[in-house]
Amino acid sequence: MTRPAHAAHIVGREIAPHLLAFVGLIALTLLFDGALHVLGLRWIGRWLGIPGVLLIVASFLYSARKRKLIAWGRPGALLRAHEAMSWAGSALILVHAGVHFNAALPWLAVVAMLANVGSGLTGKYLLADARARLEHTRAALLASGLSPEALDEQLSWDTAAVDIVKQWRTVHFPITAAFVVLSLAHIFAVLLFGGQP
Amino acid sequence: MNRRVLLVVVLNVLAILGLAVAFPEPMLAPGPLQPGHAALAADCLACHAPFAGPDRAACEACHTVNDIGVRLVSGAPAPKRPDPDAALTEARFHQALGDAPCAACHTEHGAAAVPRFEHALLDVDQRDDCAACHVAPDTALHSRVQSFDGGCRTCHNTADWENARFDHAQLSPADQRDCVACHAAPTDALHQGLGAASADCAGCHEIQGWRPASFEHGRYFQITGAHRASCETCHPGATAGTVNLERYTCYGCHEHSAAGVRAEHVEEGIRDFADCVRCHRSGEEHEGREGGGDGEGRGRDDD
Repeated sequence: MTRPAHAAHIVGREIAPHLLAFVGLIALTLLFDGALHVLGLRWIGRWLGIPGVLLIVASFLYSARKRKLIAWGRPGALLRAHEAMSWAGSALILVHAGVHFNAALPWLAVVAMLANVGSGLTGKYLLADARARLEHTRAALLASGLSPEALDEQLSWDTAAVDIVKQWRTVHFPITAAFVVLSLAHIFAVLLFGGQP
Repeated sequence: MNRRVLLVVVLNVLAILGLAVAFPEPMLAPGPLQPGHAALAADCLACHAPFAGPDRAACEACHTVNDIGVRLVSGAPAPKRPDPDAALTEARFHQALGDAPCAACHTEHGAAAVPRFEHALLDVDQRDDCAACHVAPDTALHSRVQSFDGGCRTCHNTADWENARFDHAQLSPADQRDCVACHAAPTDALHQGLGAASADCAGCHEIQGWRPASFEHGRYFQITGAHRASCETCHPGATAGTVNLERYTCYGCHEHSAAGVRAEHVEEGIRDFADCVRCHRSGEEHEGREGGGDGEGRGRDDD
């Protein structure tokens, strides 16, 4: 594959879907929020924060599984559920936030959430890229006549792909932590001063 | 939890606490307070009871219920209502609200501060006494309504004044016929074209509703067969609404040339044939012999 063709392949097949997922999240929010305003159903948005938070909390099952806090569930399936539920939960919370500029605290939480979604999609891309590189290396080594034992040993040394995902996690976790703290602070403030969500 | 994440969490909590203490209103409030409450902007708990929302007792610390509508918090006499509220009387009703929370109607914080009065908060006696708070409307319609058995509630509800259900049976028979006393005469092409006939609303409409209406063109001319043409064919200018629809012409198509019609009628000894529909109420070719009322033209015209 030539260099321009390879670049087009990466943009079209690997980056575009993740970018589309982020742009789609924003577009869906604007459409949903606009529809609620047009139909006079803004009050629904006020309550969508609760299912949004529940979906995101449920998506942390994957994190719990990875850290062996729970022992059940296949990591692969939980990862896909983590991606889907955090995306959907974020969409509900964005509609809940609406295009309104009120107190700073909830908006800081929204910004942290969007940064978290962007970071998550970046991690998803990096993981997919690492898998593709590993498969490519495996195929090349098999073609060169390497024995299965030697292949495993060779691949175990190919940790570059694994390392980059590990490095990404060191960025993703603090962003997630910031989002969680800001969200909890917002929920606490709402309950403290409003007496209801 | 590794140390990096723990550090981020601790820094976040400290930052939020610091900002909330230093700038409580921009950090926590969904909008600014009304000018009269501006001094409380940094003291959220002056009005909000922890985990219970806006507290009526906190409102009453400054606003004595018995004084509402009588004197201000400062002790000065309460001002008269401004002109836009002229439909309301100066009646005091807060005293009849019982234990209703102030925030049920009065909200704060900018865009969220939408006043929302609910009649359901009033006690039954006051709720049913509409005239205690509302000035009776001085309109032609309300002055003609005869039966108020159910009071204002006969037509109106407490949720929406405009969404009323009016029964014309509450008007006298004479007022029931005097439609234009309350209804503006329609200005569309059809009604304009009806001329004097448009004053007879009951000729087409009933008091139960403007629609369905029953304009019967057949009362003047039955539109059948080849006569299913556009209005414009017989009433030139009808579409633009520039013609009286009582006026018409039958000379708009090839079957009815002025010379041909004249020849046909003179042959039968008919000389007064200017108003075609006087004898021809439909497109039936031989109808004229029955339709004429003056004894003329009794013979067949198909020879």
